Amino acid sequence: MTIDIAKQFSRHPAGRVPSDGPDNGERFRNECLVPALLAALDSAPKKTVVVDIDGCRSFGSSFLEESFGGLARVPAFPFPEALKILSIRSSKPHLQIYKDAILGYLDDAKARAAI
Amino acid sequence: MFEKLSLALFGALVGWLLSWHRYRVAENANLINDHIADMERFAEALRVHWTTSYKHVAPDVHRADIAKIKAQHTSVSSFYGEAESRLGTASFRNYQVLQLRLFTVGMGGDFETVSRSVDENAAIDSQVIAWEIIQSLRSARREQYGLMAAIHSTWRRWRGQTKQHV
Repeated sequence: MTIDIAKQFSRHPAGRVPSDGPDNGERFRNECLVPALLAALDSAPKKTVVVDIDGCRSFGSSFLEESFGGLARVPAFPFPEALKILSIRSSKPHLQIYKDAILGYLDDAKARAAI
Repeated sequence: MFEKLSLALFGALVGWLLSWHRYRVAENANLINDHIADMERFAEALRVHWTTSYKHVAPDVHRADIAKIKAQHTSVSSFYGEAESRLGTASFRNYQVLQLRLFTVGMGGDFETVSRSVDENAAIDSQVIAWEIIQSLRSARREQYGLMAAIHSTWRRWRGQTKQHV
């Protein structure tokens, strides 16, 4: 299962919450990421959810943190299980920094969830 | 006769190696210099952004400022993608940590929040991290002059190009 952010959401994702703009992180998390992860967790055998960031132009840290780090803040969401089936894909060198940032936010969220 | 020929060939090889080394050093040093200039402009843009209050400013003005910073960040993310082959693995690790920290501090928090006020902590922190990155780039630039750095850089770039063809 692949979520192509540029095709399925926006080429210019921006902002943390709805008041920041229409293509914000909270909307991406709630409308794209969480449903895809829950569907994949329900499947047997469990599918992997690949988030493809290739078509996007740039990201703000606030969008990425809210989308991915924010998974740990979703009530009743099985965050540790979801982490195991989530992967990020980027083949373009100039997007590598955003992929590294996403992995960092997921690690931070995992560490906070473990406390 | 054979000894003279061998000596001439050896001299030509050494000359070629030295010119290749100079070329590699100049290429990497120029790229690092350009990136330092980009980092200085990016840091200045962040300083202005975080020391500006958007409480009584039209949202479009704030969005335009955000777009400018994101556009400037493109030059940072472009260099980041090839930084390991340019800086060397050891320097890259430090650069990577700092660059990700700057991304979080400078373009995180309420970076895109409409009507936000001044955030002096974000302004100061982003300047400090940007300065650390610039210092690390200056150190990496000095290290470019070592022969081993040039060999490693060439090897990593060649390996990267080979991988892309597979």
